[in-house]
Amino acid sequence: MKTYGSRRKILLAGQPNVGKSSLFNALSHKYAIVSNYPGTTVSVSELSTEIGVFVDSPGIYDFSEQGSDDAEVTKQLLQTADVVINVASARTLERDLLLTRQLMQMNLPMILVINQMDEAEKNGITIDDEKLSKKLGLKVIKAVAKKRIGVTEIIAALKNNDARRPSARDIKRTSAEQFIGQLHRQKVIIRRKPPFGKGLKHALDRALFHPYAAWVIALLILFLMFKILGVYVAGNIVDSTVSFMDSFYIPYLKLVVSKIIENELLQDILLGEFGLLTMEVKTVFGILLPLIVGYYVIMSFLEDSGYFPRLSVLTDGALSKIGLNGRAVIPILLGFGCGTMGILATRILATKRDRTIATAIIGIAVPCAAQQAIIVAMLSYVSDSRVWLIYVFIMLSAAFITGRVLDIFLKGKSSELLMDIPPLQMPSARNCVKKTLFRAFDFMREMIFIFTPTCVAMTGLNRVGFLALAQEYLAPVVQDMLNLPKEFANIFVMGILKKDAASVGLLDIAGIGTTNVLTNAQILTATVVLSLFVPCINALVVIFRENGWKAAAALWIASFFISILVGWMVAVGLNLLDASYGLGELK
Amino acid sequence: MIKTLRELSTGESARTVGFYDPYTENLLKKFGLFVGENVKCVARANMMVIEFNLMTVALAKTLASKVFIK
Ligand SMILES: Nc1nc2c(ncn2[C@@H]2O[C@H](COP(=O)(O)OP(=O)(O)O)[C@@H](O)[C@H]2O)c(=O)[nH]1
Ligand SMILES: [Mg+2]
Repeated sequence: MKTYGSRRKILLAGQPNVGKSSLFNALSHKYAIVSNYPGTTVSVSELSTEIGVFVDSPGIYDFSEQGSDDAEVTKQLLQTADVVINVASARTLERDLLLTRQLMQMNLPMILVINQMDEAEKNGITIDDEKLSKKLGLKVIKAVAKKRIGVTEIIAALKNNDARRPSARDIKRTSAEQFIGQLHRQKVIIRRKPPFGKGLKHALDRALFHPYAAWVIALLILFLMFKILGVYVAGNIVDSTVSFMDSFYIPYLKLVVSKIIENELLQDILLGEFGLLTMEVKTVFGILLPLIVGYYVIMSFLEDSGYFPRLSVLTDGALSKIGLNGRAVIPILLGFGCGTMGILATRILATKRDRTIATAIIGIAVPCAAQQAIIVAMLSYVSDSRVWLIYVFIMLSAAFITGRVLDIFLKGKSSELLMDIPPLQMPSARNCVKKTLFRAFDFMREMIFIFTPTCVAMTGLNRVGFLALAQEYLAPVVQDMLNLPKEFANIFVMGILKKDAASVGLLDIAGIGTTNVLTNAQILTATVVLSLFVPCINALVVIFRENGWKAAAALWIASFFISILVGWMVAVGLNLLDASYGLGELK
Repeated sequence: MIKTLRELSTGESARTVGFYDPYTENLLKKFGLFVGENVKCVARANMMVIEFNLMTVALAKTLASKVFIK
């Protein structure tokens, strides 16, 4: 037997969305991200227990899938696996068993778990596991991963070495259709109720596929998100955390720390303009964390509900204009949370071409949650709703043009969409909380690892006079072209390292809430420039890993110039508008 | 009369009778759509959404035109 460390490696394999990750979570106590759409497990989770190392894998439809990263990853995982737990769903058992047949030909000890049995009962499906077990020559266990049903049986089976090497002889003799036909004729699977349902859920599902109603619902969700994040979280929660920090935490901290630490340089690093304990703590915990958590809660809820695949269907037409298909809506939406996450999720797209276009759009025109928060905060001080419309219009155009240009220049055609639509379900609060915590933790870790050195570097650059120099040298761009105050140069410098955190500095420069030194036109210019500005280091690293250094460099340079060019156009355009409509003056 | 899946209008049901080529057949098989399946069209927009057994699948219209139904 192959060994993995000293323990055997137990691989969970199966079709997308059958509940592999849920089962992984139930078997171990570690958290792997669970979402109600195919393609959530893009990276591999492992957990070592006394009976072996459990490995969660990305779902695959078919091993013959060419060029699919997920199929490749899973194939490689299978090479080193000692035991396979093939997870299938009761809901789609006929289909899933086709993959089981392929897996059986790999000649590995294997167990078949039929998950989502609760769905089967609800939908009048009966599955005779004994007959199936005989037919396949495999141990078959029924499970409901969400409720941890079947977990003890699986563990017992693993302990007893019930995982057997299947004989693949019979499989080669029957074709897939013959096999499925047999399952029905021999009453291994019986589907009783008529498959087309009724009720409220059914009606909602119909509405989500209705060409008009679905758009109304999508806009409603968008509006609610804006209300919750922009008004409630940004307005109330962040407002109070910030005022707590400004009026209580920072002054006392300064008092205490400056007594303990005498060294002036150290004081500057900890408490200065870019201080680790002042500016970093305020930015990360006071401003970004509440917003990120708010955003992730909403996303988890939507992800779990099964709404996203429906949104894919809805947006397919629009996305096909920029060389993508509806599936791309999922990475793009995740990109609105964090670019890194969105870019990783482009793996669910079928071709390299699709992935490149989606990555470019996320890198250039999709502001992450932290940035959106700043944008919302900035723009909410502008009472003129035309400013909002202009902003949205500019960002949509940027996305559209990016997509169009790549669509024209990249060879090939966008892949044809074929996707599985999972049933709508009530999101589980437990999963939402877990997922949000998991992501928020990731966000914090990334933030602290990259933002801390950034802050130290900024203090250093400030002390040696580089920032003043940068302000001077960038003045032709910042002041003359963009018509912004010269301190905006700091944001450029810091934005190269960590754009989301740098955007927070914009609020200070704008004197929002206190002095209001910027005009409406300047706020709009600044937000546009910042939204389009270069992707932050973490995102860049991911682009580099996924698409190579050429793509990363191209995207970085392109977004650098695009942001300034578009910012300049906005500044000039608003100047002209200003003469006729007085936009810049409205308060 | 044999039509293609693409011609099915919302709410209509039909039975699959064949595929245009082996490529299409294999692709749809992976999603559980075989010959003899009872399919219902749930929505038609830029793409089609169909239901069969307990599965819902969205597919491009170009693909739908390669599935024969009766
Ligand atoms: N009804 C039901 N749903 C489940 C069960 N296990 C998982 N799910 C849901 O199925 C969806 C996919 O789960 P996930 O673990 O991400 O699947 P994976 O893609 O195979 O890793 C999620 O929405 C889960 O909540 C189950 O036993 N019963
Ligand atoms: Mg998974």
